[in-house]
Amino acid sequence: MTATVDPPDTTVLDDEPSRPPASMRARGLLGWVTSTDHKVIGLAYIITAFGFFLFGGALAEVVRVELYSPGTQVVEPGTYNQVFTMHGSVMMYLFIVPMAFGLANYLVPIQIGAKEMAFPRLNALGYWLFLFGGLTMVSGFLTADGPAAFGWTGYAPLSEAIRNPAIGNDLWLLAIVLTGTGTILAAVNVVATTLAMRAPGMSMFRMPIFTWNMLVTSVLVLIAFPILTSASVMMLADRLLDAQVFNVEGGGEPVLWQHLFWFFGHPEVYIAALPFFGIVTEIFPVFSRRPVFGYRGLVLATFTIASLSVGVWAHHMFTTGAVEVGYFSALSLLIAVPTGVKFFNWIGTMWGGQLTFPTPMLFAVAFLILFLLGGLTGVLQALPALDAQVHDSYFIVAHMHYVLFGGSAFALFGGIYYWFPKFTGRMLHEGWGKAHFAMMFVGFNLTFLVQHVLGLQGMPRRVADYLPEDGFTTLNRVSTIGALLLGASVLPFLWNVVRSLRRGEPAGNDPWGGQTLEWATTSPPPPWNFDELPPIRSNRPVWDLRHPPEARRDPVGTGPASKDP
Amino acid sequence: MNDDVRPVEEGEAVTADAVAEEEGASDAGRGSVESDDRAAWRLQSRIFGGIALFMVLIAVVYWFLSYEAAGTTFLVVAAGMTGLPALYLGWPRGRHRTGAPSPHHEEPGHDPHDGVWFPDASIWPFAIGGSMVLVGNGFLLGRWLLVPALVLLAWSIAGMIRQGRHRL
Repeated sequence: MTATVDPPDTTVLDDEPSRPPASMRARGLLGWVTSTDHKVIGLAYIITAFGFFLFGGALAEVVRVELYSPGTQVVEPGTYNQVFTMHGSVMMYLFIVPMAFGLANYLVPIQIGAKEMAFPRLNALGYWLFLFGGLTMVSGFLTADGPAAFGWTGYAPLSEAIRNPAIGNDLWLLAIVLTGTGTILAAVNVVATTLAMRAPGMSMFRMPIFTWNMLVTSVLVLIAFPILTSASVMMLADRLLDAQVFNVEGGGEPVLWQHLFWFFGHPEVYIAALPFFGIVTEIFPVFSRRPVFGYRGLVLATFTIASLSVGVWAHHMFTTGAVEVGYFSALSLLIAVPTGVKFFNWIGTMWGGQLTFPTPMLFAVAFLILFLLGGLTGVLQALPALDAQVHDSYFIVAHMHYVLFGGSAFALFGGIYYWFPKFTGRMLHEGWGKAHFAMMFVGFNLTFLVQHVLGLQGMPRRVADYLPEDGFTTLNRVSTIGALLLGASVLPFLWNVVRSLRRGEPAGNDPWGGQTLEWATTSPPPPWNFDELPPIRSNRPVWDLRHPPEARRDPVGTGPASKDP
Repeated sequence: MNDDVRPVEEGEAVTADAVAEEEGASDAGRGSVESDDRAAWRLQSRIFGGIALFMVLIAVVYWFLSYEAAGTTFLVVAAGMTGLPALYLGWPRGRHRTGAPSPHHEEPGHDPHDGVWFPDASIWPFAIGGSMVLVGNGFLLGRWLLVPALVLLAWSIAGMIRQGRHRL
C-alpha cells in the first residue's frame, strides 16, 4: 500500500488563499447559528448529542433506582413507562446516530482531503432539524400528561390515540419525523461528499475505513429512515385525522407498524454500529503501528453486513407468529460471518504490532470484548426457539446494551479521546481518561452482565416492579449499583474535557503518529482544512509522508537513511 | 509534517514494494483529476449496483417463501433506491470530450466556477428548521399556528434559494 503513482511534491489546493472563509461571517452565537462550516456543524452535533446522552443517562438512573427493590421507590408505574420510553428514544434517536453523524461531519471531508461537505447549507438544515426535533421530543416532559409512554418502538395499537391520548405521544411522533428528515439530509451529504469530493489520489479503496463505514451507514440511512419517517406520519394521521392505518377496528393492520418500524429498526442497529466499527478501525492500526489488516476484506464485510441487515427486520417479530421464521433466522445467522471477518481483521491488525495502550486504545479493546458478547447473544436470538424463551425479557435488555453501549458507546469514547486533540488542539489527560475508562468498564459490566441472568430467570423488561418472592432482588441491586458507578464515570470525563480545554497539553498536528489525512493538518484545522495536502499514494498517506521511500528501504533502522531522516 | 519524517521502527509493518505496486495497479480510479478517468465512476456504480442486485435477490426469495406483501415491497423499493444511484453513477458520460483535463473534478457536487470550497454563512437553514417545527406543532398545539408558520417556512425557503442563486 505504498507508492505506485509518481508522487507530486505537494498538491496545493487553495487557489485563493487570501480569501477569508465565507462559512463563518460572524462570531459568537450568531456565527454558530449561521455557520455552514462542516467542522462547526460537526461539533454542534457532537455537543448536542452528548447533552442528550446526559439526559438519557439520567433517565436510565431513574429506571435503575426504581428497580433497586420491590415496591415503588421513586416513580409510579405510569411515570416509569414514560421514563424508560424517553430513555430509549433519547439514546437511539438523539444520541448515538447524531453522534456518528457529528463525527462524520467533522472528519469525513478532512479524511478524504475535501474542503467542505457537498451541500453545506443542507448540512446545516439537517443539524437544526435534529436539534429542534430533539427538543420537541423532550418537551413532552413539560406537558400536563407527560411525554410518550409506549416504548422507543412505538408499537401499535399501544401508540394509537385511544390508548395513549397524551400530547406527549404526538410530540414524540413529530420529533421522529423532524429528526428523521435531518438524518436523511446528513446522509445525503455524506454520500455525495465521499463519492464526489475526494482529493486527487484518494481513490475509493484508499479512503479511511471510518469514511467507508460512514458511506455505507449513510446508504443504510437512505433506505431505512424514510420508512420510519413515513410510518410516523401515518401514525400521526391515525391519531390526529382519524385515519385507520394501524387501527384494526377501522380495517387497519397493527402488525404493519411492526413491519414498518423494524424495516427501519434493524438497519438502525447497524446505523448505530457501523460508524463505531469505523472508529476502532482507525484506532487499532495507529496504536499497533501496523497498517489495517485486510483493508478490502473489512470494506467488503461492511457492505455484506449492511446488505444483510436490510433483509432481517422480522427477526424482531418471531413471537408475532406472522412472519416467515426460517428465512429470517437463516439470514440473521449469516450476519455473524462478515462480523467475524471484521473481528479477524481487527485482531490481525494488532497481531505482531507494537501495541501501546493509551486511553483510546483501551476503549477500543474493551469494545472488542463487549461487542463480542453482545454479538454472540444476538446470534442466539436468531434461533427462533431460543428467541421465544427470552423475548421481551431482561436478556434482551442486556444484549442490546452490550451491542449499543458496550459496542458503540465504548468505541465512541475511544474516538473522542483519539480525535479530541484534532478538534481542540489539546490532549485529554491520560490519568483522568484511564479513571474514566476503569469506572465505565466496571460499572457497565456490573449493570448489564447480571441482566442476562435476570432475563433467563424470567424477569420481563419494561416492568416497574417485581415481587420479593420472584428472586430478582439481589441481581437488580447489583445492576443498580453498577448503573450508579456507570453514571458517575461521566464525571471524570467531563472534568477531563473542561480541564484539558483550559490547560491541556498542546497536541501538535499529529500526537498519535496517525495514518490518515486528518493528521496532516493543524489541530484544529483551518476553515479551509488544509494548507497543503500531502500526496495520497495509499490508504495511509500521513504514514507515507513520515516514511519516505528512502527511509523505508532500511526497515530495521540501521542504515544511513534512517540515521539521517 | 516533514519535520516528523523518521525511519521505520523495528518491527513496524511495511508493505513490500512489489505488493504495493500490484495493489496500486488494480486500484481502479485512484483519483479523478483527468476527465476521462471513468474507472472511479464504474467502481462506485458497481458498489451500489451490487447492493441493489442483492436486494432484488432476497426480495424474490422472500416473496416465494412468504407471499407477504409489505416486506416484499420494502425490499423492492430498497433495491430501487440503491439501483438509482448505481444507474446515475454508471451512466456513460463525457466519452467524446477532448482537450486539456479540467483542474476540477467533474463529478456531482462540484461547481467548476468554484475554485475554493467555502459556502456562504446562512441564517436560512436555521429559519427553515425552526419554521418546520412550528408547522408540525401547528397540527398539535392549534391550527392558528399554521398560517404564520407556513409563511415563515415559505419565506425561509425563498431566502435560501435566493442565496443559492447569488452564489452562481
